[in-house]
Amino acid sequence: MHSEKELLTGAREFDETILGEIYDRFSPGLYRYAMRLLGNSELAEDCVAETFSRFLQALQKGGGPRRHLQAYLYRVAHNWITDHYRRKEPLMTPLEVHHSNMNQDPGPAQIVQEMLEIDRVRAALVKLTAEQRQVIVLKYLEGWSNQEIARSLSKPVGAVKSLQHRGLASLKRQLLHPSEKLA
Amino acid sequence: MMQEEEYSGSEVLEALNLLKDTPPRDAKAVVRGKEHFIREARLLRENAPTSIFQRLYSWTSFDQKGLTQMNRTVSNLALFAILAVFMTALFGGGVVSAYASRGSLPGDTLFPVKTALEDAQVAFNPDAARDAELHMVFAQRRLDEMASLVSEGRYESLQRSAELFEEHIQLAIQSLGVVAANDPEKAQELAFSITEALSRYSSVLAELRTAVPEMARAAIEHAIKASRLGDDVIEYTAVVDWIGAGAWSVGGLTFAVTVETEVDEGIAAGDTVTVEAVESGDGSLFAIEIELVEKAFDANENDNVGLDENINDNVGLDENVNENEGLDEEANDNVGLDENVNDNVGLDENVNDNVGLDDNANDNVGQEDNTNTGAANDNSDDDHDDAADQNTNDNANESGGDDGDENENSGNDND
Repeated sequence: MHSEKELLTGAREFDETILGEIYDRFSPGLYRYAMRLLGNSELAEDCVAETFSRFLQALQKGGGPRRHLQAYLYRVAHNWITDHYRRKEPLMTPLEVHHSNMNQDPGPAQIVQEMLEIDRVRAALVKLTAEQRQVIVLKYLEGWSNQEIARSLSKPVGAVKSLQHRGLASLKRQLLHPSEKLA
Repeated sequence: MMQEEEYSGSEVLEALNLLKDTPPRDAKAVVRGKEHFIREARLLRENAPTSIFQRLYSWTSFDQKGLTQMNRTVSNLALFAILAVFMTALFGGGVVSAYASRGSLPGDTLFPVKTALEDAQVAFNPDAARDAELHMVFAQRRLDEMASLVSEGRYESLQRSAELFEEHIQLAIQSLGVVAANDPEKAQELAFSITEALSRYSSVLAELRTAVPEMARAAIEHAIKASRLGDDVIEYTAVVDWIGAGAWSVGGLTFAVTVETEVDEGIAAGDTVTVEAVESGDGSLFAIEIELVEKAFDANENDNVGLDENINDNVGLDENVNENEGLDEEANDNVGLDENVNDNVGLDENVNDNVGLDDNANDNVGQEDNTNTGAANDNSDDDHDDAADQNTNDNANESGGDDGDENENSGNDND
């Protein structure tokens, strides 16, 4: 297990072992992140592939992150997702329903209802700012602690709390008035 | 059902919870994804960034997406094939009109029959390598048609031809990407023949460009750009000398800039840019893309809430603003005619380090440590009149003692 600094140095040298480690370490989280926001496994895989591809292309041009690799990757993934939603209406995305958190044997009406609700939440989430969404998703969906998020976003815990607070407020506004445009 | 008015804080969390469960990721996709990532890394490391191989492999990085798009294209093409049959029937004497369409040019009634038949040919062919070859054949046809259009003076249809030409080249390279994923050796062979064909097309187009009136040049340049897809692209980073109509001078070199050139917004003389350019047939440089690297005159703003760390590091005539609430640490580091403002609430540490005619202000509340240093501040005679610097540190130390604040100003008009 290498330190972030070692990972970034290795990545810059295109060290395949290091790059492999980066993929192993960050792709599962990125996939879940994309899956939650996109609701489609194929799209989520596309998002992950494209995120890592952009990372390599940035490295090759001498760019890419100097530190905070994870935050960088999430930002790239986030941009891809934002672009995706810009290209098409969120409701056009085919949804895959995963039933494990539903009541047993839900009726068709309930499934449809839940699908619509999931899509509504997803659409609201997509409209938050990148940092707010990252904090909300990492905190409430990935279950990270404030300290972990703070480290990942390279922000102090206070800032994370503030983003979390404003993110939730925006989310609430979005759920109430879905057409409202946020920053 | 959840009524709109009912969302409370906990219900927002409940709503979020709906997204919590994600189906497990396909293990095969993970392995594929990683392999792909490593393969792309290897190729990026080994290949010069501008060769056709790098381009085709960078295309394969979109494998899945590319393939889905191809599938979609294929189903569209199947529609075209049906359309072709329909149109052939419509224009009577099926085979005859299909044959007659062969000599048609863009803008002719039979031209859609010609392209629909071509599309059908691709749609019904399952082999990606053959697809690439077909697209190159059709690109060559579009090129011939452009030459015919020019000789007939039908410039208005040139743009459409150029677009179709580009489309075929892109599709050919895309198909090449598919071949490369399965049969690298075959792909290499194909890539060579495509590169060779493209270079032929490019010299034909360069000649064609000189034969058309000004108004028709953009279309030809569009096609030239497409024909340069596989070429070596010159990447050149330097300072913009001047920007003229149709041409830019960057670092002493003149580049033709047309509507086809992708130019970043807000570039002015003095800025540093990276120009991606190709050599036109006549030896002149044609800019494909001009990317802003660094503004000569920068204006940066950081606006944060929290425990922030802001850094503006510029060379030029800069204007930087850091505005924060929280425990901040800010630094503006400039060379030039700068104007820096740090406006903070909290336990701040601000540093403005400038060389030049500076106007710096740190405005803080808290236990701060502010430093402004400027070359023009090292004025030993302390003559207020001939120094243009104005440094202001305005602090209120709420900790009750003097030890919290540490302000250093060297210069004139300091507060």
